[in-house]
Amino acid sequence: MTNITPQIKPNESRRSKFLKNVKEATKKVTLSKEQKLKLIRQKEAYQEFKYLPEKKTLEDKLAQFKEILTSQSAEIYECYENQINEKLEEILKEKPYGHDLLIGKNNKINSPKNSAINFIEVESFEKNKENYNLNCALTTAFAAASETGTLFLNSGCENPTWLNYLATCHIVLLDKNSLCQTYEEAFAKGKKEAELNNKPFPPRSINMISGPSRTADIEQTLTLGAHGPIELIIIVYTSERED
Amino acid sequence: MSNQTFEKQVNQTPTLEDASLSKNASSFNERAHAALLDEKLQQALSVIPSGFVGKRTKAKAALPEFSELSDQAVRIKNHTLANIEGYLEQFEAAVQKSGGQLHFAPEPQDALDIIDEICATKDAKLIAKGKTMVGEEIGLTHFLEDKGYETVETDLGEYLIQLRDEMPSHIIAPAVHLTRENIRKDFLKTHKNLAKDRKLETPADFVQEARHILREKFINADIGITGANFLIAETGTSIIVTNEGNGDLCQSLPKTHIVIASLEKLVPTLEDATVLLRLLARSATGQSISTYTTFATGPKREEDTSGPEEFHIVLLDNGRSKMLGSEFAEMLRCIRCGACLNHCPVYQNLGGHAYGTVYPGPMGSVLSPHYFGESAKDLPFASSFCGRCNEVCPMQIPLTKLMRKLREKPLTKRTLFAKTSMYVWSQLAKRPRLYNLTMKAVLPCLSIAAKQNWLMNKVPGVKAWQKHRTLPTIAKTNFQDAWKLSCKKDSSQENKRVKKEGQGK
Repeated sequence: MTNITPQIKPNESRRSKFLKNVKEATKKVTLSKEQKLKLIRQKEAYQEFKYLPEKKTLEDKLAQFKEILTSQSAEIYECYENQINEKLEEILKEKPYGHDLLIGKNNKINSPKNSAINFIEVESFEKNKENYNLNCALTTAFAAASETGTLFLNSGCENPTWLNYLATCHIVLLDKNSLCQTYEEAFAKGKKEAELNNKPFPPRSINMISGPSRTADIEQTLTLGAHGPIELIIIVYTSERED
Repeated sequence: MSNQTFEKQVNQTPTLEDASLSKNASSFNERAHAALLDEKLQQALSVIPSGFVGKRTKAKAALPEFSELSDQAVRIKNHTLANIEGYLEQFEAAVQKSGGQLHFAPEPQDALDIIDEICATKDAKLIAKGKTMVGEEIGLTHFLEDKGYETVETDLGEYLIQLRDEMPSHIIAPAVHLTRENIRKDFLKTHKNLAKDRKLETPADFVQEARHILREKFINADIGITGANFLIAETGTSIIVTNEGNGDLCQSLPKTHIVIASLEKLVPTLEDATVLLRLLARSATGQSISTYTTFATGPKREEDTSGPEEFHIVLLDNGRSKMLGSEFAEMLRCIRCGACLNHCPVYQNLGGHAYGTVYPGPMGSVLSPHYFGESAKDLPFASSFCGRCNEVCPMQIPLTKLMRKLREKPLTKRTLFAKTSMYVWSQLAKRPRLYNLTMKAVLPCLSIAAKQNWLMNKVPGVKAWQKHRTLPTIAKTNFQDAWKLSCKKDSSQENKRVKKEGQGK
């Protein structure tokens, strides 16, 4: 048995007092016939609503995705799936961060041996606590939504959440076919994948990332790299056989 | 009223006594007065109209479905609030299913005690805190500090005001009232380990220094506390949006993650949350989406190598259930975007501190009397009722209507003089003929009196008005007479048409 301190359990008397207050308040609401009808109509409209912007082709989505993310100071590269390693070497050569690249376990990359990049597989944050100012880290997005240039990342051992935030330069891999148009599509994709892999959905964390970290708290002036990455680099890859 | 003219009028009589009222002023009027005389504050506030307001307009225009989404957002919240009991139970079950704990806190003290209990059990020393307005509402940081925990605000704006021991002056930009000069002094005073002659000039210098200082706190924190922008009933998920990524570090590095939220943050499903997310950032900062939007569900899973081992959500009521059953229920739709603050001419001129509570601006003028009672009783009067807040609210909350209702409430004791004069006026206003007759008698007196300042000063209630403005010369005939006369005199086609329209109304 592991030695975990017992969790604090919720207090029952606070719970019943809270729910009693809510119950009493909802009882107080007396609605006229008209108001009731209005609520029913609202409920119907609420259930029918779907956000459906004009459908875009994959290329249009990619164009929109690129345009928005570039305007948010992110960098985007495209390549074939079997060229990811070369692309990474090429990118890191231009950057002042050295050759180390932190990745999760069982990552897409598969840590090629003959690479100029030194892939370091990490596990828990505890084990890496000593050198927390990471230079470069790489994680994988399960989907992206072009409507606002947003990446969707799951937590898990192949994608430790802390890599997304502690690195100065954050690199994200995205399969071009995972590029959706809306948030709803992206979530549906995540749900489907979880079902296929027999995992619960949602996982501990889903991170929607739309650019490098920023703040405007000093005199409303936009400044990059507040607590998280100063640079966000996205590699959109396609499998070779695509026509 | 434009910013400049208002300032000018007040600055006609700048006195030192006025400025010294600022710190300990107990009423909104006193604090407002001091804020207008504070040159540094005025300088800091001058960026609001050009920043937030312009960016929001652009962001809204770029999303053609904005009003459609806003309608749906209103329906989502109305539906959730009408069925809140069921959704609370569903949420509780979902949180437990994912391995987390949901704690109900009817009063602020309950929430504080729960959090203290968790921290004590975990033997916590250092707590990293993300930005949470509910936390501000219950004074969480001060409470934890008093209990002996080192508690660090990690949102840059919140950190800046923590150094000064101040209240946030804006719900999404807590340090909007500070200038670089203020911040420089605070950094030099607090970060003593760093070189005294280091460069602290550009915003990037300050951000880098704060990043360096705060990162160490994230790494060593025992507990991470965040707020929640939304809670999802179906999955037991809490959602936070940040631009800095501080909230994400708070909830992914420490071993225990505590969420402090209030009951009106609930929405039924993930899809409902996405509708609201599309409105939130656009209305708040004018971004299409905040840089980081993070969904947290339960503690880390068995196969995960990192993430918190415990996940607690503390759900606060503090007067909200009372609002639920009252004529102020609509206010619970608020998603705290701050658009009503940014567009409010009163807020733009005074900043948040004049309101004296953590929720300033129009939304605060409705909320604060409910949450803080007597101490916020004069806030519903802190509005010119121009109605811009109603227009920009993505949740379509009729803010001025709600403030008007609060003004009607007997929160403030009216003087006998105010009561009688209001009564007389209302009786007059209901009787047009009598009103006209009275005005005919009063107007000539007024035009004489207007030229005699000493005389006007004798009239009760007029002296304060006279201090900054002179009474304009009153026209000889009143509007009603002038209208009748013009209708009679002019027989041209144009005027006949106007008359017809006038009668039609």
